[in-house]
Amino acid sequence: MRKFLLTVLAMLSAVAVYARPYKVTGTVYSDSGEPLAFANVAVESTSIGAVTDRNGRYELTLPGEGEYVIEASFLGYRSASRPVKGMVSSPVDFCLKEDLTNIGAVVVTGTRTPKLVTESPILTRLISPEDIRKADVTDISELLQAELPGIEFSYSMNQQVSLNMQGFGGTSVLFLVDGERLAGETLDNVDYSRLNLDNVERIEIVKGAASSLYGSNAVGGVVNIITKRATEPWQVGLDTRWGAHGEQRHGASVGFDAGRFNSMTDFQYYRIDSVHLGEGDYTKMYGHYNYNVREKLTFKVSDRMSLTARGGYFFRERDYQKTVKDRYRDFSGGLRMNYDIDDANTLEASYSFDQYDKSDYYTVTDKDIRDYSNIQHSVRLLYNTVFNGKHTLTVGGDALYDYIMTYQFADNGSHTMYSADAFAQFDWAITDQLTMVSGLRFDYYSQTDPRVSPKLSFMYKPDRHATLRMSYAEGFRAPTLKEMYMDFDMASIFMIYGNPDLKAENSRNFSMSYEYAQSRMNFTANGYYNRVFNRISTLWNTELNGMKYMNMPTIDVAGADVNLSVKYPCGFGAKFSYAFTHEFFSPGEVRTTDTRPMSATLRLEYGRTWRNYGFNLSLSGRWLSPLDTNVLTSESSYQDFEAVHYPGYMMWKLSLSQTVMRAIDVVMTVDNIFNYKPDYYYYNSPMTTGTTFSVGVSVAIEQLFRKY
Amino acid sequence: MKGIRSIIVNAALGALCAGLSACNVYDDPGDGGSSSGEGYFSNVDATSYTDWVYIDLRGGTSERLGMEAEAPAEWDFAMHRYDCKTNGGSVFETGYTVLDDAVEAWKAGTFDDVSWVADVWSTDKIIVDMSGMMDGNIEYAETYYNAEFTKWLDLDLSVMPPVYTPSDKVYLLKTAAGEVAAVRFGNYMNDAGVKGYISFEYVFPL
Repeated sequence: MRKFLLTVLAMLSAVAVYARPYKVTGTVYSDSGEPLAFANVAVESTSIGAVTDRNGRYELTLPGEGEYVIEASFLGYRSASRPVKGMVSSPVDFCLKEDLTNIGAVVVTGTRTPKLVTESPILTRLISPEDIRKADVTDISELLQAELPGIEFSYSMNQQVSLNMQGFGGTSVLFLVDGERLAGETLDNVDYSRLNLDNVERIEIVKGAASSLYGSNAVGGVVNIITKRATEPWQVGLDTRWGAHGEQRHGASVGFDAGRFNSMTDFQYYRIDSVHLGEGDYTKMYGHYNYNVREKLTFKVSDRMSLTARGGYFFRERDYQKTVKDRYRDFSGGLRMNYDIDDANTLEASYSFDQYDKSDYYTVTDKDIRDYSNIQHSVRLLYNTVFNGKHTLTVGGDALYDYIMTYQFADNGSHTMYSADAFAQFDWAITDQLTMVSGLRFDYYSQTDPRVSPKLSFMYKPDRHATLRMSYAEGFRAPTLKEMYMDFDMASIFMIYGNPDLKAENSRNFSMSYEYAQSRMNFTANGYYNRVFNRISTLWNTELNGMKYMNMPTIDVAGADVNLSVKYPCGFGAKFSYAFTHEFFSPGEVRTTDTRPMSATLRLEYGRTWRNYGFNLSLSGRWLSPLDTNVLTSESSYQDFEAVHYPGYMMWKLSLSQTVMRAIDVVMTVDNIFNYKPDYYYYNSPMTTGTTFSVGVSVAIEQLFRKY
Repeated sequence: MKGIRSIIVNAALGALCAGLSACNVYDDPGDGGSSSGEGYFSNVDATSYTDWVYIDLRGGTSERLGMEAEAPAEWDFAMHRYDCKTNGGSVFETGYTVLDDAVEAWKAGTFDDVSWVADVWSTDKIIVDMSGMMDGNIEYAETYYNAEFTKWLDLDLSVMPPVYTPSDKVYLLKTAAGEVAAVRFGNYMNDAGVKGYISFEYVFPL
């Protein structure tokens, strides 16, 4: 017995020696050799962290000998990490590379393989978490408008949100969340209010046709929303924001990254009252509320394989009429396997489910009656292989089941479509400076003709800062079940009929761009020309005495945009973007377009960060040019046109964001600071009633417990 | 508080249903059939643009007849979509939204000196064909019409889709014989949301 106790004591003392805490010290420098004050230094997968002092020095206490990864990060610099093993006596120093304009960020949308944003052969616009935080907005529509010129969200009939992205509408721009499509649409647009920004890591935007990788709908561009993973052993975030017209947003997120598991759960609630406007197409904006709950859980089977399961629920209710509330629900789920077969080969397999429903809640009868349901099941395989360490072959395929039941079909009926595709892309690094990407995709549809979509692009880097890109790509949009089978009585005024003989809308896109990127400055200029065939729209049909979906004549759209962003270590930053779009009409053809020819955005900011306090003051503006166009007139059976002028406008926003203890953010915003109010509220006017004020607070609770 | 509870219940339901496509959180619209009983009519089919539906309050019956057809022997008022006419009677819109409250007020003599509104001949109120609306050619019937009674539902056709706003008021209908009914319209559509199915409750005679 005594022998046993001695053995246990010996073992315990050995553990005590092994687990004895010890200190690690070091200095964090910038790449110019200057020490960086107030940089974060953290031990991965623990809550241990430190902040550097004025001389860039830090001191950490590790719990005992073992293997750790220490990461140093500082706003405006690329993070760096170093492994430490055993008892370390020498300093662990870091040298961080300045990157004030995000050139070190990784994007995936252009090629479906991770690439540095400046090295992606397809020009990709990145909206970073920092951009999202500074924009102080609630959903994707507000964010895209704030960040990108040439994007306008207006209202179509029944106050449904409608997108125009440099001449392309909601059906021609593909929205993805972590690469997955969204079910459901209203008047040709997905429900953008589903896409809140609480849980978004970054957003990638690729303009131009991309059907060779993404299939249908990638005619005018792809917007890919990448959601967050937990980055701390545990993390809890709470946020709240209060604004004008009873606007409230409250959110909570809980995550953990422990052992083989990584989980992120988030919830967001949003509401706003009805807003009374002045004279116009609309005199009142309907009030509404929505909430969204999502969970993403990743299990690391091995160092090379991980499985991710996700689920989500979205609900929105709109105060449509006195006795009727519009309700929108979405149920989503998915499974994904990522397998790094070896250093050169990766495989991804996924299953995705999305169900988007619309119903009417009748207050008199207390009944909630569903009248629309779109259910999509899809499976996907994606395989990447790298040759000689630099050429990448990507092959993949999808199969999609698409079911729609809607009040717009005869007798609230339903239709189903099956589709499948296969694609291949070769990313060939011809020289260190020249890369060529070629791709081909074949799409099969059970109801319509198959499509073949090619792509060929080149990227040339004459030096380490400049990049020239050139691309020819084709895009298409298969006719939807709604467009093929609609049979809808429009308030006893006329019928709208589908057309099963519709051809796919398709486009040929040619684009060229120049990018100059360095750590403090980024400039891009991009020009493109699109020829769009067989656009699908409704036309009046005298024989049927109603509207019918038809393929429309070819239209050409050309445009250009320039973006310039600068950021200096002193804290000053500026971002300017300008977009020009021109739609070509044949001589004698009536000019009908919803696209404003010019628009621009500008953001000026100044911010500083100290140990326990930081601030950022930003002034952002958005200018949209006037639009002169023609619309069908009610004076003559909606068969003739009348000229209409939509005024241009400018809106400015001033926002002060303050960070305390690296955990608490307070954002105060004055929106529409020059009190712009439209004389008449057109469908494309900003639905503002003048200057408004909002305040938001968010707390990262785990940061309060971090051992600095 | 109810709102928060409803959000939690809905969110829990939604999370539970996320993977189950068969999940159904909706109500059944039922068959939307018409019925009537003591003091109420439910889902009266007034969907036709070319018919009047004649209501006999004492008999508890309704009958749908063409615009030009001769009215039945017994009827108190008639509906065409949301338009109303009376059988030689007149109508007063009370400020009450609860039927029993209006009846009590009537008994207390509250409405002894009010102005009753009789039917008028109209040529541009009763729409019989909407299909020419896009041409600005809506076709109207020439018929009697009671503007006061028709206030029960405000129909704003200036926006698409039209906006329906019920007044929720109780209306007093004085028949040609001098009897008075209190009528409160409850709905302008059936459970499936098909508009033109009208439900109301009434007390007759007062």
